[in-house]
Amino acid sequence: MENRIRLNGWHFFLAFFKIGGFTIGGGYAMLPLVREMVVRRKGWISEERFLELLTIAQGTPGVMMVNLSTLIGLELGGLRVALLAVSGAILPSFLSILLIASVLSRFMGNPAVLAFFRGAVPAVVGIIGGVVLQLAWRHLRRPESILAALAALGLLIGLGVNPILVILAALLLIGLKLKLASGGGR
Amino acid sequence: MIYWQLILTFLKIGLFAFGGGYAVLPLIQRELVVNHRWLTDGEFSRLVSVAEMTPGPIGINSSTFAGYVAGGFWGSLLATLAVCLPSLVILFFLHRMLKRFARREEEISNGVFQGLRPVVIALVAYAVFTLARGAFTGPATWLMALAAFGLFLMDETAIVPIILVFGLVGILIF
Repeated sequence: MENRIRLNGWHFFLAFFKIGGFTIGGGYAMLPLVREMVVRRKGWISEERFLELLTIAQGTPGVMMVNLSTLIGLELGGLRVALLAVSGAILPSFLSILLIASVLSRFMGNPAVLAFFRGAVPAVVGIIGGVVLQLAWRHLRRPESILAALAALGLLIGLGVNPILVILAALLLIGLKLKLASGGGR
Repeated sequence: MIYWQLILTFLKIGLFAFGGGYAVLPLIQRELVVNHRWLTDGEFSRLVSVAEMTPGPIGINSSTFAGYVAGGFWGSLLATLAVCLPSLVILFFLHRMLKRFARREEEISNGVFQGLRPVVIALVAYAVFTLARGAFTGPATWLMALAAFGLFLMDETAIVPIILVFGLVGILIF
């Protein structure tokens, strides 16, 4: 566990709580915020390792954002930190739904709230789009990687294939390629 | 016993919700509306719109909401914890296994992760696409997304201010 850091667990909880609170428009809205914190600002995890953790989070069942918080917690400080990260990340979601379901049902139709989200969600689209551009620019340098990404995107958007099937198909292809590269394998 | 049923159902959703976000909605709908009738069709579509106007991933929002409707506060708490538990258990072991494997077979591990990079980035791009499909209601929203895109690339640390500013712009113009 070479990259374990002595973390103040409470700070970690608060950081994820804040991230969870600004996860507007679905789980992937969390990605730019988490990356900014753990990769860019604090430098706890390299971007390569972050992409590996994201790969695992996308390839396992469950809520992607819970998976990613768990993995970052495990990577940085083990199970205790993972639990703190996940509870921080889901608490804003839990509390706001609870408030709406119990006392704030009027909040639902509030035009100002609706308008806020109608403005904020396009901004989130732009921000995640910026992350995609940066990741693609840094990590998809070879033509075959770009082609592979476009093919995957075509399957997802054009044919509506479930993401997990796309990952499995890619794993199969990678397995074949590695086997061929090692001269037929063992 | 309603609590027990909630726990089992949301463990199941947490365990079989492959693909994330909107790919999971049909599974959640089948469990909550068809199998258990905790929500009506109308309540489910209300849930989806609530999820769109509250922070957090839809998987958590829908668990909390359905748990509350079916079993009050404790129902919502148990449902939310149950949907997270499979992730925590699976990833606790998987993270260790993959780390150990990466130490033993570094080349294969790197090869697989690097090979998957295009797919991982494509999945993030796909999330942008899905989100945009719901969020782009007219030229103003396109422009706002484009402006946020540019601002983010200029200053990566300004994510939260960007979201807040465009939320306020939304209040002013919509």
